[in-house]
Amino acid sequence: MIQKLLIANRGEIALRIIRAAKTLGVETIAVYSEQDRHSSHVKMADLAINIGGGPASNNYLSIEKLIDVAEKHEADSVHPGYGFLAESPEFAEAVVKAGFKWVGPSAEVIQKLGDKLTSRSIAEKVGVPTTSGSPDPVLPNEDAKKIAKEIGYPVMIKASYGGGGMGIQVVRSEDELLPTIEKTSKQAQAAFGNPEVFIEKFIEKPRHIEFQFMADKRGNVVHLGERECSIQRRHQKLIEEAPSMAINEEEREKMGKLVKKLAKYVGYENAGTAEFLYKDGQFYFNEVNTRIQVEHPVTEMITGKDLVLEQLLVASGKRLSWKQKDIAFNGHAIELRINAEDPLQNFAPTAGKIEQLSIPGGPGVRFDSHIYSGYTIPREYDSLLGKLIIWGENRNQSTARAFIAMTELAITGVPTNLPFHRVAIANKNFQKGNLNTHFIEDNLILPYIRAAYNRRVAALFATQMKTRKVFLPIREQSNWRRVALKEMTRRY
Amino acid sequence: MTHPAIKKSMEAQEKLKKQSHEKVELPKDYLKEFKSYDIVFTGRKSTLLYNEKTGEIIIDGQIYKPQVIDCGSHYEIKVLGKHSYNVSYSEGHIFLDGRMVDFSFTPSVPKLKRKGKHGANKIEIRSPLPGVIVGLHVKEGDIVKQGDKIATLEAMKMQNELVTDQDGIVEKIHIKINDQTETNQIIALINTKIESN
Repeated sequence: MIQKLLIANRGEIALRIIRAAKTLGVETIAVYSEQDRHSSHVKMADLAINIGGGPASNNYLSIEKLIDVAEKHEADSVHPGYGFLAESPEFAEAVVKAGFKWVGPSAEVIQKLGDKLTSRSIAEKVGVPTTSGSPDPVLPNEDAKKIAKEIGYPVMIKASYGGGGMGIQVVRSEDELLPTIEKTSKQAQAAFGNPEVFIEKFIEKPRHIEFQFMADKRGNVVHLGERECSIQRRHQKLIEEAPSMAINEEEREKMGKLVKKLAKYVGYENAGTAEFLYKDGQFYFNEVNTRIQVEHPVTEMITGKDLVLEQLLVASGKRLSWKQKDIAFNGHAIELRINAEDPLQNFAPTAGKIEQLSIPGGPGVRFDSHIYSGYTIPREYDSLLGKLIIWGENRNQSTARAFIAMTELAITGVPTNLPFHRVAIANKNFQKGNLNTHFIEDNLILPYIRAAYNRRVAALFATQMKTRKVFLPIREQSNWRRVALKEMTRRY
Repeated sequence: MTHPAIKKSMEAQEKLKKQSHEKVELPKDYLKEFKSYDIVFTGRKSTLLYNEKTGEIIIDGQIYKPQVIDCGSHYEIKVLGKHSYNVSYSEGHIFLDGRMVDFSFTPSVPKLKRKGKHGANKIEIRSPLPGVIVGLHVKEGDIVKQGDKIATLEAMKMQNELVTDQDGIVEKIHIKINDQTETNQIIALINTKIESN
């Protein structure tokens, strides 16, 4: 069993891992950048090490520094969380080479599944349904035209080493094809350090459905059902739920079996997710995420299993605690990602200090977050502030609870995407389960948020004018500073 | 059974879908009685116009005349007929429908017009961050109103609409579609002097 775990991450996932480690009595070492000095994970871990300021490449992305901390402080294992180095085969390899246990699949498996063309050919081999596409990288020439024609327009140009929706372009006609290949290839070189691109069939407005699986070192694999993550903006998920309303028991079982087969075929160990696009009863393999995902709690809520805890057990070499028959699904769960992003400004990231925070409660309500009142959101990192996860006996109950929890959750001082969630949950198509990856655009969500916001401003303003309650504006500067500024600028 | 609160919000959303959002043309002198206020609500800054005599509020071109009913422990506010909100004050905080919110306002101070290179009557639309211009929505000589889109800038995979914050005439456009822009690069110059005519 592992004894001392280094957590090479920050934010809510660092807390999530610390909690799992504490449950097992495992000691934890947190690392933090200068900007994260006041972050909760620093306070919650048994030991917290400052790994320097500057951009993430100097700290959370520095393999050298992380290994150094692990060695100096006698860690015996490393959990990468998600993002940063979680899917870096180089990091996985460096960790294992230095003699630590890596909480995740082997570097070789990460490498294989990280390459989109290789992972697609593996999927095809084990019978997982895929979209038709070019078997090899393409160049902007006549061959590419031929391949695209065979697949049939619209097609996608995808960077082989892209991720998170980056480096994907849609081509609807042949004359756009070659310029788009050239452009995407250039972007891929700039963003991922590799210009390889390939062609794939473009599925218009699909659902996003993914399967969670867990494997141990001895070749035991279970799947834990699916999650639907169709509500996205710019390919970033905002709302996830399980089970999906779109698929039935039979499809779940069939896909679960195929996903297990894939995991066994590559010799997978630890937690993983196979992502699919789904349309008209058809699944299309997208990619495998070789790490724990942001949205893993919805699966935990409906299965009652602690996935992060199991990750630590499996990484210690223990046998998987569950057999497939132990995995049963109970009720419905939904996760709302609370981001420091303003839906009124087209989801532009926001930063600043959280003045007040009040957290919802009640049955089935879980809030995984690293924020507290007085916390300053650093600009440097992703905008996730926390995840509100709600469980209910059925979808109606969980969405009702989610709606109520959203009225209780208050974060003041910084614009967040809370209004988005309230509006999305109460959308007719959401309530009916008519989801696809274009949900936000197709349902006029943003104009409605604007209208609702303006109504509230009018209501609050009118009340204060009537009651004559005086609330001083939040002071950004002290009067001393203000006067000094006036002196300096001679503008009175 | 759908939850009643969800149902209410759902109906309001459906209604918005049907009604086309028309901005009402106001008579010229109408705005004379209105004063401008700067608002901060949920960390967002905005401005509204308020007429003390009639209690009318204008936000984004829409006129609101909220009814405030004193219910003792709280206030019940009806906005645009159907929408009702509950506002209460305790411990120095404001609660909207039971949720703590931050809301403050000050009368707008007329901004000091800094004399830029082009004088006080011209404003520059600048690129806020490096990117590519993917859309141009105006030509030179076009009359633009506050909030009109001037150009669309694609940066970091996001499409950002660059809008004018004042009325005026587009005097010069400095870029073409597909141009790369740097931070603070001038995209268009807008002459705001026509306002006084």
